[in-house]
Amino acid sequence: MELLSASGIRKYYRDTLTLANDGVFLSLIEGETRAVVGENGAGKSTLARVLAGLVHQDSGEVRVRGRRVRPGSVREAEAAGIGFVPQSSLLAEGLTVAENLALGREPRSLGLFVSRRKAYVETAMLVERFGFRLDPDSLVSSLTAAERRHAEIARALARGGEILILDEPTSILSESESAKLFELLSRLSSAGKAILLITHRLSEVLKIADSVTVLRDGRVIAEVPADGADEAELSSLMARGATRPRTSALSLAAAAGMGACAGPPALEIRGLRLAAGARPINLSVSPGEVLAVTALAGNGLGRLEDFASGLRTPDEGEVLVGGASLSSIPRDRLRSELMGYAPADRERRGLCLPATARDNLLALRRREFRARDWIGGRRRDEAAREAAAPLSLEAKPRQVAASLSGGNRQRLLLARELDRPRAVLVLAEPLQGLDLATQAEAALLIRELAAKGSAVLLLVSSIEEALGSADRVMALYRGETAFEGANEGSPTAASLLAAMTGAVA
Amino acid sequence: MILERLTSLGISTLASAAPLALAALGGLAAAASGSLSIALEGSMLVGAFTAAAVGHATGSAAAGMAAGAFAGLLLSLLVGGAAVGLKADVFVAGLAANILAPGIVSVASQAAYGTKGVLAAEALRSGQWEIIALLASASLALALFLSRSVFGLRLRVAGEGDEIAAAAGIRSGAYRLAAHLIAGAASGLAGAALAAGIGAYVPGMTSGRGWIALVAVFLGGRRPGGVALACLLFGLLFALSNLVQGFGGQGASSGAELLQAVPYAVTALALVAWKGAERRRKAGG
Repeated sequence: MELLSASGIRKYYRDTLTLANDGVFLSLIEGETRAVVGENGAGKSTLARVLAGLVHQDSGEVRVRGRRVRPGSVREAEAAGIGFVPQSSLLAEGLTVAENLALGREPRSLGLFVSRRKAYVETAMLVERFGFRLDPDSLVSSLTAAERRHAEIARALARGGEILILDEPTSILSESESAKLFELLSRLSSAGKAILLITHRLSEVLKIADSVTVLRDGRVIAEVPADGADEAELSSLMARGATRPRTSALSLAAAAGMGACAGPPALEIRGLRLAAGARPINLSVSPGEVLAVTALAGNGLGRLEDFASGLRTPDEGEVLVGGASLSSIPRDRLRSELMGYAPADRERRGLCLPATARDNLLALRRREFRARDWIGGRRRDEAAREAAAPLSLEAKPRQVAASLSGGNRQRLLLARELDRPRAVLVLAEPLQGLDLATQAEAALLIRELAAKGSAVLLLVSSIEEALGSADRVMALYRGETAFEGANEGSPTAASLLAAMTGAVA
Repeated sequence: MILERLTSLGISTLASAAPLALAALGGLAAAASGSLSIALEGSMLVGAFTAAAVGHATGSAAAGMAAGAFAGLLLSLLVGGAAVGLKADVFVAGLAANILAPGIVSVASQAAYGTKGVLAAEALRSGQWEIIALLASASLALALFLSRSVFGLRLRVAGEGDEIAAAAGIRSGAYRLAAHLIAGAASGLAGAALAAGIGAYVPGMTSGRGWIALVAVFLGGRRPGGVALACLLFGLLFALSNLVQGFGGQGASSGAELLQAVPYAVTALALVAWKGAERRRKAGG
């Protein structure tokens, strides 16, 4: 029986002048898992938000079990059984998991107060039933990215979600976490839930989806069963330009690299302890070299990012840039001249969301645009346009960053950090949220900068990304170096994974 | 002798802290909802005046106190309506209300009583312990309401941001407006208590207590317990300065003036320290 149907969904964003959805249709039957795939800007997120009632479509309708759902109403969508799991968490940070799950239908005591015990029990039962890895009593602010995702799914279920819509659920998860998430989704599917997976990671979803809808430029290009679907064919359907390079973006970029140049290290880390009781790590990156460090979540990659970027000063060990201690270099000079830094936490660290794309792009070039240029808005617009061009960022200079899609935010961040060859580039998950074509562009750009003399430290949780683009590879396990060596075919994905999981110490 | 001194200091501390605590918990409601209750001071002032006027007219202390709370609520309706409804800058709207409050009061006082000065209201005068008990129980009820009730939980979600609230099906604007009203009523009642303590309205009698309450919200880490502690600290400072003033004598007078400035100086220092700590926290996180 048809559970969810959408027809003729059209949505035009006036402020960005984009027609995000242009007559999209979709249907979901009971127990079905459907993937909606497409490049950045194909209209996937808009479609998800329309279905969830977060965006009011211009025309077209959504029906659940044949009954029309009032557009633009989260409450109505929820009442109809649609549960939405957004790309970036929308849980209340200051509340516990149980309180978040209870919101809107809080169990009461004395009519006025929240019954914490009942809320706890309700959440605990849900956690038990579907095998979530969650403690109902822990504060959301203390959860990891993966736990947040689980909590979001649990919340959608707690609100009576029969149809789960997940927007890029694996975008910030490591491979093992993604695998666990997919296990959970298959359990939910066998419990009768219908699932809509919005993603651009085609290979990932083909394993668990029953059917695939391909979106391009706001239109449905194809609908096929996942069983026996040809990945190459689907990805060529997704692509806007038919002739863009798309055979493994990363290996292409690596082929363009020249290998490491000799020379004194531009970035050096000595005796740095990433976890209490762990053996300290050492690493160095020479100009022209790309070193990729990879680890599963919780094994010190985030810590390393904090120290390498200078946001945290180590108590033990040191971080040197061009031979000088990182903490002794004025922050202003470091960022404008010496170090490009793309943080993994794009929203909170990388960008200023309420500011315009232009101001984000030019944030490191304050000296070029002094106060007396305040009239020179046009000059700044021009400079911003120039900076945006290499990554084909689709944003108007004066558009606020918050209104950009996840992929465009990443392009904005990279456009700023990769605008010139700096001595050191610290890039954490630089390809996150990007579609295949842009991944290739970004990887090439990183390679070019290395060729011009930048020392690149890549911090990535994806083995594929680490092996695809680096001269040397290093793996961390529990904050210690589990593998380090040249990337010349000897570390395979399997051997690297073994090191990352502690199978070989 | 010393024991007596300490007891009277303790009582004096409680008496100074109680109105601060109630106003500060009102401010906490606004802070928790993601807004800022700049107008605590103004609400306290109109609360004090209205309590005296209504107490004087009706001869009932209870009616005076209730009217004081209501007047505070009305003033905060202006601020909340402008900030939430018309999307005005909450800081500017609150400042405007604080400037407006003494103006309204003196115009009303001139029109009704032909004076802009002291307005005696013997009927409003209440015992010290009665006032402390009323304020303490109102504070406790408000703290409990904010931290444990369904309404309080949703209010805190509204404070996490519009998008997060919307995802939880909560209309953040409505909760923010309600929080402003709570802040207004609480500080209006606190102001009324000040007037009840001396059985009169005296122009400028709040003397910055609304601002101090606002500081206590942040100094107390935006938690009810912490806010109450901060208010006790400020209460102690007020009590100490009163005590030294009480000694009288020529030599003590300049010292007393200095001591009178202490609560305000601590307020200023606390604000600076808190701002600095916040900046460090943001830079680190």
